[in-house]
Amino acid sequence: MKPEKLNWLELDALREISSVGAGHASTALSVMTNKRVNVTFPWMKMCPLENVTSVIGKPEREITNIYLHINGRHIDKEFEICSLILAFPIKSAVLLARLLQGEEPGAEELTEMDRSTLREIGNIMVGNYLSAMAEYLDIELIESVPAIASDMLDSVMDPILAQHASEVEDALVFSIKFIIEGQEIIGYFVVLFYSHMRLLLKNIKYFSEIEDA
Amino acid sequence: MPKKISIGMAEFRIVHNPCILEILGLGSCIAICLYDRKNRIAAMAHSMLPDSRNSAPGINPLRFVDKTVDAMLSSMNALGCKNRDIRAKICGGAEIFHNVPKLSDIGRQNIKAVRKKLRSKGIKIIAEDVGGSEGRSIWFDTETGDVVISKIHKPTITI
Repeated sequence: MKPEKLNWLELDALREISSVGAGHASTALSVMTNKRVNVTFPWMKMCPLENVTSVIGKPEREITNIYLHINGRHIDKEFEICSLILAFPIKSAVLLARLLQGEEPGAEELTEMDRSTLREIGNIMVGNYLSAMAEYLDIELIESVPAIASDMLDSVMDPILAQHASEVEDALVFSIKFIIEGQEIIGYFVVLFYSHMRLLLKNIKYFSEIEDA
Repeated sequence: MPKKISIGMAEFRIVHNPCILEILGLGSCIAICLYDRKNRIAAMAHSMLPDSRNSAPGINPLRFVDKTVDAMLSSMNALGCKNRDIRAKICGGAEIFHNVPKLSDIGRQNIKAVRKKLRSKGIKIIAEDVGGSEGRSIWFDTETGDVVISKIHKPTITI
């Protein structure tokens, strides 16, 4: 028996959640930085776990990953829902952090301040993504503290993909575009489910059918 | 220039003709290089997790060290290699994220699993470059048995 793949209705619901989440995040980042910030997800792809990195770029490209682990709580029971990853080429990560801090870009490496800004961006993006999800679902979602690492693309993705490798076949990869005061920064947003997520998506499907009716 | 073959996650290759087997950007995953000098047969695998026992039905068994080593050896044995003639070199198993529950330990478990599995099959590990906190790219020259390892901002080494 093959693990079930997400169907188009579930994918559509996830796309909807993402665009609502992106809207919320744009507002939150604009307020936080007092700049015009716009976040969108230009495309989304579903692919086998093994192919996630090839969707993003060459294996040795230097990447900064911001990782959060999401648990769900329902009637006193806590279970694993998904992992969320924000991935930026190192130069884009520096630029993003500097623009949001209101500082000059230019450097090639992340400072401790940049890292903490990126963790905060992870919190805001994921927090808004989850609150959009919570609008559809009757469940409490709890996010972990964001972790950050920079290395070759395949190396920084490895442990996160591995963590899901015994449960799921597929992952979702979104491209993510920040426009900050006219400057464009492209990154990636990866969603890796645990098997419990299937149940949640069944709910999403149910809710989206009600909305469509 | 010998031919280069890239090995992706959850894949392995067995070759007879001299070539370079490469893995670019190995993190917590582990590379298993096997070499039989007598029969001039070599193999390399790129494994993600130590143990297939808790995997869900339908999941690719080559994601796991135990099943991967079994598959490599049965293919090599079918080509006439004896386990006692096979030598191993292993690389990878880094701790890319520090102090992150669930992520930090995967590399170490992979290293342990490969050592244990190869020992149980009577295969000697003659060199290794494992652990640490950085990703690796590796090139396995199947003619000489040399494995060249590079990390970002570091000089390359050969084992």
